[in-house]
Amino acid sequence: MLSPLRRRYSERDGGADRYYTHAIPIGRGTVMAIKENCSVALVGLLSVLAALLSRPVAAHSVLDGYWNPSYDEDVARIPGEDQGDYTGIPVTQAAIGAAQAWDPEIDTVPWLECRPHPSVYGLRGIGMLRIWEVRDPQTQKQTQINTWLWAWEAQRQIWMDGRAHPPPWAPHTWQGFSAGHWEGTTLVVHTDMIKRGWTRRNGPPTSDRTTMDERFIRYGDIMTYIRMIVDPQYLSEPAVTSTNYTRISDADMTTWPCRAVAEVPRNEGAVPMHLPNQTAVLIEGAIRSHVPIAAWHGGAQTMRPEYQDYIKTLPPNPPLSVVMKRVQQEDKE
Amino acid sequence: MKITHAIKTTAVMGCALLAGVLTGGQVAVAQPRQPPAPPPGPPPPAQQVAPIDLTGYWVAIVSEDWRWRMLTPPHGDYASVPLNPEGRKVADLWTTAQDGSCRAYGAAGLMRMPTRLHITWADPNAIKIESDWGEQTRMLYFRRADISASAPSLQGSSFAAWERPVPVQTGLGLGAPGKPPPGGHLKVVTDDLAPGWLRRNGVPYGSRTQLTEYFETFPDPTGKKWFDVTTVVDDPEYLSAPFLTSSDFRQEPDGSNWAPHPCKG
Repeated sequence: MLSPLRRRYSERDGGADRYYTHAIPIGRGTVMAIKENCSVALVGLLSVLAALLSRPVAAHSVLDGYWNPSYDEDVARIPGEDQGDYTGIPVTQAAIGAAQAWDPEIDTVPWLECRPHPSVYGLRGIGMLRIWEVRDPQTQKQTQINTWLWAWEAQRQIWMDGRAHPPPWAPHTWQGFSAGHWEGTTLVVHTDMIKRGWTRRNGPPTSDRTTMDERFIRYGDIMTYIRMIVDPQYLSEPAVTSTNYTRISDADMTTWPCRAVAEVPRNEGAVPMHLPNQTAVLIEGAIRSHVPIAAWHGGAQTMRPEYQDYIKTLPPNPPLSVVMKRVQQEDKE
Repeated sequence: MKITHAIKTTAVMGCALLAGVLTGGQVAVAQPRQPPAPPPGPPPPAQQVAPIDLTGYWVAIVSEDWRWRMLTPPHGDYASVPLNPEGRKVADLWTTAQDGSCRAYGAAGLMRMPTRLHITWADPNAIKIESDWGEQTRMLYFRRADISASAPSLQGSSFAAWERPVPVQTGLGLGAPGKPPPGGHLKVVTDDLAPGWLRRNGVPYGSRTQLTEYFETFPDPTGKKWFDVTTVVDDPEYLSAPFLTSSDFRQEPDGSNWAPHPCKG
């Protein structure tokens, strides 16, 4: 059975067949006459035509359209992960230190409410994705692949025209500077000049020296999105994840209106955060999820098969009631 | 002189335009209406025409679903698996005494397990995948004739094929599509599966499951080689929708980290 993608192209090929059938029949004599009178032009034109017809065509976007994220993996992305859950991220100790200050109430601070996800997180987030190509009207060369995420209306421009990289003093942005190219039908993207951001919504940071490499691969109605983040400050090795999207043929993009309001009354200048002594709240989720505390904060060593043997040597977690008492005590302090 | 030159130029351009229009039709007419026949003789071995190289030692890097893959999840925790009511009923029958069962290493669950893999060509038309955790062996056959009819098994019967980009139409739409872009990936469809588990805590898949996988290789920014396997589990018995995941493996230089861990029964 043909995949939907192949079916699409097969239908298109069928369309071309119709053109073959209805093409204007040209008699041999007519062509010979043309050849005699216009042989130079004809040979040249045939060469051009042959070149056009036989060149590999990769610069077309097989990704255009609307895509729904699949939540069959890392479903905690929807509500947001528990505090302190950095499992699956090759974080450094510096990253853990910075991340543990994160408090979920930070998103209720008016001046932070409408900030979009940075590009290093965006496609791991929630909501529909739209992809479309932009072509230069004069040359019909592909100049951009654009992505639009429903959540926070984050738009990225992936430059396909080989333009010069911005100078090092140019401002870093939430989406950064993305340059792309096609490898076959895989879209390959490199991004830098990104603002300090996060790899997960619960605080593990990325520095402004972060770079990201991505691959968008289409298998019929499935798109696999591979994200590789390099950060010399907060990651000990490239953080590689793959996320799946499914194609939707009938879709529309709605808006994500965001207006900053004071949702939680608090003193002027107060910023929700955890102080370094507040550690119990960071492991409460580990107890509830039955994850050993030693593994809860992630790290490259926890992501390989041999860690399964090490887990068996770890002491059992303390009871939830004990941890909750500590949470309350630390809140009072 | 200038006028003569202008007339000649116009004439050549006119001829070119006319020839272009006409030869466009001619080229189109001259194209075969059916795909070109394959060259005589048997197709080349799959190994010879492989667009990607999956051979070598690989280690699973568990960057997603950590708590459901590295640990045996608690009884009844089947979060994010689209189980139907019957599937939940079967999942709830699991007990901790069953932990470590080989049912967690069936084809539909194996590539999601934290394991090392050793991938080789068993012959020019068959790929062999071995795992150290669970000590399983999968065979991916590129010729249907090589798949022998047998009883359902943990690893089932896997038919493999290289999928390559297809040519695309350009310009007027006249003529045949151009050459296809380079590249390609491996698609594997597996049937004849014995019932198994999608997770170590007994989240089930049934004997009517069809497993579809797409394998693709890629380099990371440091130059290390990876492969990603995108997995679709279709099970009309226990799932209300296909279960879609993708898992990533990084290549290792040799088998020095290979550590067999047998499963139970």
